[in-house]
Amino acid sequence: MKNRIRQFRKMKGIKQEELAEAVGVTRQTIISLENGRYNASLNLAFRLSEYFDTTIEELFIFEEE
Amino acid sequence: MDYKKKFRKRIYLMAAYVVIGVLIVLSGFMNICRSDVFITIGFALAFSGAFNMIRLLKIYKDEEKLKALGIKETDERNIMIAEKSRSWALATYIVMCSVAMYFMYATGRDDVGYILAMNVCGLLVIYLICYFIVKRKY
Repeated sequence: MKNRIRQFRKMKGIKQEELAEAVGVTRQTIISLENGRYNASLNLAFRLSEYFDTTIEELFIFEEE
Repeated sequence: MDYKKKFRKRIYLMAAYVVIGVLIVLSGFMNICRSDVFITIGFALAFSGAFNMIRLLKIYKDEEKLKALGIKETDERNIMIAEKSRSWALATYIVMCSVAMYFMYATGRDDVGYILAMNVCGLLVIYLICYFIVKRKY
């Protein structure tokens, strides 16, 4: 699953650490998400989309494996 | 559950370790249950409990540290890593035990081989029980 977290974060002009603190995860989780090494849970996906004031579909790109 | 509440419970648990440890040491010295191993376990429990209690209390008093630790412990990626490591450790242990079991039987040490075989069987039975409990829950 791809995502646009890095894009949205840069658009908002915040650091990974600030985003991590805002959604209640560690900075390593944000790094893994941005690099596509880790897929967020539904709960975290909602928190991220809420934080960026967007929809889950906008933030995450579903790909058939 | 509120993380602070959960953390407080951990401190109480450490306090309980200290009390149990002291009771074990006292019972050892008062000849209720005289055993060097018993007394050593008591000392270890009391000291580790006291050490951890002081460590946890220091964190508990520091709001910043407590918040950071809370995030670290409840972070979903960290939980996933811990769960994966646990399952890999179990799988590796079973494979290693199985290989060692065959080696022991092949070299004529049937007694050790038998213990290892029972170990693997026991673990697999526990796994099956846990699997059905978790399956029923979800």
